[in-house]
Amino acid sequence: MTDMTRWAVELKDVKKTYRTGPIEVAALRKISLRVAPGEFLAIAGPSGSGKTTLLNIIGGLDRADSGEVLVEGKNLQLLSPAVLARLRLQRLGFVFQAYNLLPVLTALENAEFTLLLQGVPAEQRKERVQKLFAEIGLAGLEHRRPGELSGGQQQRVAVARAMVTEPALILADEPTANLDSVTATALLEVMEQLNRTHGTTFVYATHDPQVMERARRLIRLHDGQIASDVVRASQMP
Amino acid sequence: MGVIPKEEQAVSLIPQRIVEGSYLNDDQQSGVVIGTELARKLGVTIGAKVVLMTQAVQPPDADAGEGDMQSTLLRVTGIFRTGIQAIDSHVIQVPLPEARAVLGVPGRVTQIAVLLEQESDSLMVAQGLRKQLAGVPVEILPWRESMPTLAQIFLLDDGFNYVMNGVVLAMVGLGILNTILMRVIERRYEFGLCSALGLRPAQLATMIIGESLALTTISLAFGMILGLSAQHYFATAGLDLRWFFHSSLPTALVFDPIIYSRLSLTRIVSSVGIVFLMATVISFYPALKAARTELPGALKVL
Repeated sequence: MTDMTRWAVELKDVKKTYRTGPIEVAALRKISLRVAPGEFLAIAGPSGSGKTTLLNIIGGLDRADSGEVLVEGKNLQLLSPAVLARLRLQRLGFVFQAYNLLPVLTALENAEFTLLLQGVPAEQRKERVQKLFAEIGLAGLEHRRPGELSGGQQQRVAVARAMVTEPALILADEPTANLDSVTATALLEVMEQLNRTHGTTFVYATHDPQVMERARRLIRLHDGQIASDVVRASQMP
Repeated sequence: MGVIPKEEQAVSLIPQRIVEGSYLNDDQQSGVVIGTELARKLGVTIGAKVVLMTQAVQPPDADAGEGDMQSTLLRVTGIFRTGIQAIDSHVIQVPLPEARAVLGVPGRVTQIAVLLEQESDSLMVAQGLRKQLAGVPVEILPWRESMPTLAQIFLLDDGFNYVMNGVVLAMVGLGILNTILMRVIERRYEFGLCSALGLRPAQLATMIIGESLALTTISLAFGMILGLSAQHYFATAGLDLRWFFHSSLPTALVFDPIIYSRLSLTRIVSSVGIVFLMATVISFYPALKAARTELPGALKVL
């Protein structure tokens, strides 16, 4: 592994400021961070501390004002929207707080959507989604639409959609925020298992103490800066 | 109006508008066809005798003054109704020999109509005839010169049609733009999500243009069904404008007040082509807007 590709994510002096008219809000203030492949990392902090902004910048959904954002050695700041989209499709998976499923599609169609974008044939798509659904307890719910699923089931579909392409990195923004504790625990177990079996890197932005407890590395943000970075069980290569 | 019955049927509306009796034929020298209004005023029906009184044409070598009064007995063979009061109450047709005799102009005709298959050939044919009949005391006029008022009405109608078509196309264009743009704005979340999951901007734009063309195709199909149905109705039943013209048209303008639509393949193809082209061009802006969906803002669930 070359030094360029040693880290799943590498941030160098990343700054991001939001401007609304004359008002400027600094969301990230010179954040530097390295995430190794296979880590199970939680980014915690109060609302407005910059968690979601950090996740969006790592995922190429937003751009930093300055600094470098490297994902698998690629500097996202230098990539065109089309190349960024391809990187998100091929290497990244997203789990959003509000599930963000397409309401007109069934659970199976939502989960296979990224495979469809990758051009995977229909038979293979169905096979892979059904296998994953079986692993995360969604078997039998393939043809239900999001409105017919509970919050926990919808979030599992979102996890399946993120996992099905076997990405190197999954970014999960408050994935348990809308779930009861039992459902949240079940979902976290699913993701931990996927992390262990597939070696996928997970980065969470969370308020949830349960997520923080399970994370093997916990970064606390405060006012756009890293207040603490604690590794509980070393995953560092 | 003295006519050659057999020839007249090809160039005049009156033979087609006989409602009682029959049109003149070349064997009935003393027959006459009259309009319904005139028949009503005279209180005559088919077979009735009428006397035509007119002033004979003054021979060129006669002394100055008006010609003698002449009269002839005619029998009503047919009654026509065009719906245009000025024609139905003032125009009669008699065989040419009878007209010549009563007017005292044997062997003379005042007007010969030449019916062409293509109206656009009229100028060329008129020029050809002028060359061939040079030296003969006749005036050869294409219809646009012999009826300049009608020609100007046609010209005005063409211009009005172009303006109307332009307005209709502009409205269609604005309708398409509004529909697609509204759909793009309403689907901002969907596009944002697709983009976040890896759909490239060019793919999003292509999707919008494709959807726009699909919508245009479906709309055109419905439009064609409705349009062809209306065309079929007006091609068979016609658009009756008799109530509109009433007595306002001069008798010289004898044309059918019931207008029958005619299908033009060229017009259909050009209209469909223009709408397709317009839809494609118009969808570029919404497509560009969709391709530029801003992340992560578009991902907020409303």
